[in-house]
Amino acid sequence: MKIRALQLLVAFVAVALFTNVISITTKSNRYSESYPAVVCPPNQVGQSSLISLTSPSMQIRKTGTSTMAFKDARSRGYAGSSQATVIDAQSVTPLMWQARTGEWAGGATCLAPVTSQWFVGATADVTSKGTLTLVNSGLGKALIAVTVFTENGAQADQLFAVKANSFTSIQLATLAPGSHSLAIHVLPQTGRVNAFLTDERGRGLQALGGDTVNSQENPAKNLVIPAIPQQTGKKSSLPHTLRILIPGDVGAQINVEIRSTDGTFSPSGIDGMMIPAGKVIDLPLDVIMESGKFALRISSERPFVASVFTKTNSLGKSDFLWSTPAPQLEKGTFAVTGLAPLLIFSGDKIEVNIDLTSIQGKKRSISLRGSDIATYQLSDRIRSFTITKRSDQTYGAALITSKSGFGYAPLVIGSTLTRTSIPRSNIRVLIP
Amino acid sequence: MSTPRVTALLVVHDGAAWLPEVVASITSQSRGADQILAIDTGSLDSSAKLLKGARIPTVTLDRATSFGAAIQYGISQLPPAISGSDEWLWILHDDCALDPRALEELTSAIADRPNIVMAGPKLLGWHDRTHLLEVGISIATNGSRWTGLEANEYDQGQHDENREVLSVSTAGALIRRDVFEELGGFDSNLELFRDDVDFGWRVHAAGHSVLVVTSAIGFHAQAASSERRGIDIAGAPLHRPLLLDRRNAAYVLLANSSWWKLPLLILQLLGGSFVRSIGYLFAKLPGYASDEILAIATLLIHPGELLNARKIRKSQRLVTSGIVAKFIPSRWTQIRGGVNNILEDFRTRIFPEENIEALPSFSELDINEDEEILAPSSTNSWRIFFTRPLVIASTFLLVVTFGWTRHRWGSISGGALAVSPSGTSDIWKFFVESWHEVGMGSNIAAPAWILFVGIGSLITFGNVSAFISLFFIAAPFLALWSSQRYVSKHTSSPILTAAAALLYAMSPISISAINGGHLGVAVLIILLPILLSTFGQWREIENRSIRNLYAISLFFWVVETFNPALLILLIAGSLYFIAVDYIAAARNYRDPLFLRRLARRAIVLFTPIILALPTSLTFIVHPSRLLVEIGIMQAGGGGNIALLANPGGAGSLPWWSISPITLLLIVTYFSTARARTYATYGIGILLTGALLAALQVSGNGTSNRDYVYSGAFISIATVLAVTASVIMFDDVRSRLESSHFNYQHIAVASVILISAFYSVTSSVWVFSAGAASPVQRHSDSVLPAFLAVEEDAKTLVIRGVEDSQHGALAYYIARGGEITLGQPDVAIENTPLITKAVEGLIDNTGVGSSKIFAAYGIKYIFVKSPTQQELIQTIDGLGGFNRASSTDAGIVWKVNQPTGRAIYSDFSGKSTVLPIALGAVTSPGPGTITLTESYSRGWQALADGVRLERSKSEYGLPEFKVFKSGEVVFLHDGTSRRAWLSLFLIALVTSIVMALPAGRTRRELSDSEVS
Repeated sequence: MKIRALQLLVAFVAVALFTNVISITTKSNRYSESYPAVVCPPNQVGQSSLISLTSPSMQIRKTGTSTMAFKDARSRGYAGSSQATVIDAQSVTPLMWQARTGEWAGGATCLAPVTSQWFVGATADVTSKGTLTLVNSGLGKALIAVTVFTENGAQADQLFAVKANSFTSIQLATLAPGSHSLAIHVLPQTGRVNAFLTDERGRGLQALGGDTVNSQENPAKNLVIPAIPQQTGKKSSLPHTLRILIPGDVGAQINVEIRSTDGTFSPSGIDGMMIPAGKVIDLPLDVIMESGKFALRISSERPFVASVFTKTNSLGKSDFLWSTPAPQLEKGTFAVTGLAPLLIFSGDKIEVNIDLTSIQGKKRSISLRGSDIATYQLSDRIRSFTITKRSDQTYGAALITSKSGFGYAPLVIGSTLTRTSIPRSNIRVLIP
Repeated sequence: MSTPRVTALLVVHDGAAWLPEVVASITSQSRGADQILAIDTGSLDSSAKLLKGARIPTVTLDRATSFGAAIQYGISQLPPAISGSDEWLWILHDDCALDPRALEELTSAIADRPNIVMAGPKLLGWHDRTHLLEVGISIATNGSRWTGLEANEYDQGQHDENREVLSVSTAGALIRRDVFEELGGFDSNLELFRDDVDFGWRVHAAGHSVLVVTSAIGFHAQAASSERRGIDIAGAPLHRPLLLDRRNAAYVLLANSSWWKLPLLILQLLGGSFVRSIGYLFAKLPGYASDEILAIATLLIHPGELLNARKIRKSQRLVTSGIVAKFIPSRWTQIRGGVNNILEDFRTRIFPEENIEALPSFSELDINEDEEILAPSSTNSWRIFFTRPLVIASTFLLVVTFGWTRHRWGSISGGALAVSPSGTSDIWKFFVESWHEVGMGSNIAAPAWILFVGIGSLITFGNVSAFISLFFIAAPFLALWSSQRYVSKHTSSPILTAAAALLYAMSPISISAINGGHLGVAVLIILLPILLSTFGQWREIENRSIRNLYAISLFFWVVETFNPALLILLIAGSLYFIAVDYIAAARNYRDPLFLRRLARRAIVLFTPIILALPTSLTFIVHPSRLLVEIGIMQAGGGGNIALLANPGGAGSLPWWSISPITLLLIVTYFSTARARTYATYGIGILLTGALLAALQVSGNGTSNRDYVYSGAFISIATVLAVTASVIMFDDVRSRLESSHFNYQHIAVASVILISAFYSVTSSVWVFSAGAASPVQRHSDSVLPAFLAVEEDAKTLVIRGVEDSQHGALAYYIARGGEITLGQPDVAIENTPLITKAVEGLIDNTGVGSSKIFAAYGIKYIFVKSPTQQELIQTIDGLGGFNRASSTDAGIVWKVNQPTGRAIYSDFSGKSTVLPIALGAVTSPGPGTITLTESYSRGWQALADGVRLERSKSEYGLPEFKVFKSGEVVFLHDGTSRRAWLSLFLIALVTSIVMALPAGRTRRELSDSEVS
């Protein structure tokens, strides 16, 4: 019997070993991994732009051309054109500086096409010279639904068709004539679509300033606007305005908290305010922050979108800036060649490690620690910075200053690694 | 009324075997015949001597004299009938003895009935005198002799009542002489058989009646019809009784029926003969089969006889021939009778001995009638019924199944199970057609198992989905039933039987097969116990009859069509036994015993392989296909879980519901020698299954390699484990009681504990999580409705599927709807070009994908929800596709380039899509027409009846050169498929004939069976 037991044991062990050895062969599913190309907005007439890149060999192409081939940028500071620029930036997020020389300037983050974009900012009243630019970087026709919310409520959806590899610009004044406060939802139904909003204002020949309004992807119940500039040194601080929209059917109360090096507090008159649904509400945010910058944390029971309008003065000229919410900070590289932005991070407990790369390629690491708000001014010798470590619930943005004005760019990863399984032939797809 | 004068006419032909008793019965009648005359038609035996000894006046005629002619001659020897006298003829056969009161009863019955001119006795069997043969006779519209009795009906007086009938047998019939002579006696064309029915019919038509007198009894040996003596009559073709009987039956019907009934009667006679001849062929009685056909042929080639007969009957007819309609059984009665006979035959075959002993038996002597009356009506029988272990097990299974199947009431699919086709006709069509519109098309032969699904669907009146649902719901019960029948042969304990059957029905493999839609394995689980019960004495195969081997081979083929992996066991087992035989024959391959065994093993080995042609040929080219189960590839869980006798994969029990099967095998391996035999085989097969389960193969219609689902092996291991454990437990109690505490006590206790744990966990699991298994009721469609209705439009469907490890994107080409049963088995992989084009949709390199799709006739791309946004954007951005719709079901793009099933290109390269109708297109001019189907040598195009030159396009599609405008017809030549089907049918019919029990000629039947 012992022999039988031994035989049995050997048989089971041998089979178990064998099956495990031959099972080591891994699954043969294949995946396509890529960073979708990011898209930077085109220049309107009279505008100029600078797209920061990390390398002159970064691949770019422009819309509106017959060729779909990418070519080298040949510069780390690529000058934008009247066509949108499609950049195969891989894991790098280019920041863009757009300006109408001597009148205004604005910052933008170049993003890969997204499925939904909310813009909270701009106006369509008599001063409006702003545009909504819809870029289709794909080879198929794009159909885009645009919903405009104003202080009077939502307007009917408008559908725009954009030809393959091209863009169209729509004057804001035609979208919602006479409306003062706008929030725009861009929902591509087909195509590879990016939208850009430029808020440019003037009264007659007098320029009132302008800015590019960055987008947020979806309404949320908690938003953080990490960087709102406060020009100090004047007798009275220039005002801020909080623009907010609850897109649903039911309004909700909002809670607002200001975070700055001067302290954290809830602004009276705004905190706890009831916001009606469907209407764009402008709330004056009369705060004076000696530190010159602050962050805003807003929460509500209902998903909402928001941004903060800030008036600025640059060399005696009037300008303004839209600070928009940023998502939680992610690891990634941002190209900032020639921009020298001021990085501002907001969070309860901020721990951010940043690798800086100079134009000469030298690298240096810095570590930021703090609470509520932390800032770091990059020198103009830095071509890129990489977030290598970040604490949870930390948000970041860049404030850029130039002779033409102030700009704001949220630290959003422009293109994330997309991993899609390469489909296999499998008849199983044909059963319900 | 005057006393009737009776003249007995005894016709004798080699009747020495019966004659003494017949003569004795005649002479001992209580009311004797007034005169008697024997007509001997040239008997060669001692009949004449016997008659002489009995002092019966005898006349002798030629041996070839017919019965009717003999009677006619006998009458001619009598004094002429006196006008107005009441004279009767008593027709007697030499094989029919009469009860002593027979004539008295007959004469008294006709005494007050002047309309009766023919009366006959109730006929019982000669040998079995309780066997009721006839109480009057009639004829069915298919020519059968109709008695209205069941086969071998026992006479209990249930038919005792004098009544008018169409006719009575001439054996013992009393016929009024004047009417007999007036009607011309028996028809001279009916030398033997059916002359009685014909005469009765004519009697009715002449305005008289026929009476059966059940108080008069005769005992008839039916010597001629049962082939106890030869047919020597001159007019009998080939002297074959059946031939004569069938021919005469047709003659009677066609000569006596109304004109307007003749066409239908002829059709019925021909059809009936054809069906019966096929039946005789299956029963290996070709002589009878030829009799059936020849009988009609010999009649129809002599229409003059019929016309003359009808003329005579017309002259004798006083009333319409339809007067006998009340005696002719209706078609419904005939069908009911036929079905009853078949069912009765089936029942006696299935249950050879009526299970009388299973019922409580009482001796009549034990019954105290007073007690019986005074006792209150008992309900114990119901209590006993519900406390039977098998009933308890079934009830438990019913409760579990109630929760288990709650998502399966309706049209089910999922796992390995494709969608059911709409009707049985689709299955037949699919089986015979040479080209299947699956994906890019396929000419792979349809698997034979689909036939059985089609046949099974007849239960649900052709509703395949209802049958499949019913099957998957009933499968555990069927497994319980089949296993309990098998297991009960190994134990007398009903509790053990029920427990083992329940364990089998709820085993991991059973649950996995049902939940995962493994139709083949589910069928195997049900049939396996039946198949195993046919085994035994496999080593001494020479002791088995050829018929038995063919029957097993056929049964194995049925199971094997559902489970190709069983061929591995068949081949391995056959080779093993052949090797053993060879060694036993002292390595002498000429040894007669070895050769006899080899021939028998060859039958078992090759019959299923031949029947499975041409599919079995693919196993030679691609042996790995043996490991692919039928239907859609549904991966197993790998080797480790298979060692627990659980195949794993979607729908299988989780590993923590520890199956006791492996433990049972191990424990029984150390048990009694008999249990060990089963355990050894079980362990061997389980380990083989585990080894195979660790392999990865590509399944039907998929390029994915996935773990083999070794369900077939685990099923066999499971049934062997159950059998071994039953044998072990059968006497375990006595053995454990008689021994000191040892490892056996521990082993048995652990088996019981684990089995109890398993029964709880498995039941809870199937009731809860198991109900949400892959096989579910689905009412939605894969494709949006507008794509499903567009004929000939191919749609590339992309969607996420869950495989054994993680989700992945998959695609296939749809042809307007879901994939149905059988189609995955014939599906072929898509071409590398299509695969590349699809990959281009994902990795953003597919700028030319739309062109390739158009070349293959793919008109739409459908990404089914839930969709991946990146994929949507990529397709949007690639160009070449226009969004056609975006709904909750998914997103549809139309390929920008024109495409269809037939694409015409002129010599300048300009392409046009040709609308195709009924397989034909109109070519606008000379050029090339490409058919967007997979290339096959069967594709042909005909223009003006001329076959166009076929070549393979750059995309691997069939293209044809046309030289002028006009209609071009496309067809797929199914010659090769028809050839395979013919071979299949020949092999199948031959195997069935060989497997069926051989029918016996009437001559071979025992006397007691005949009469």
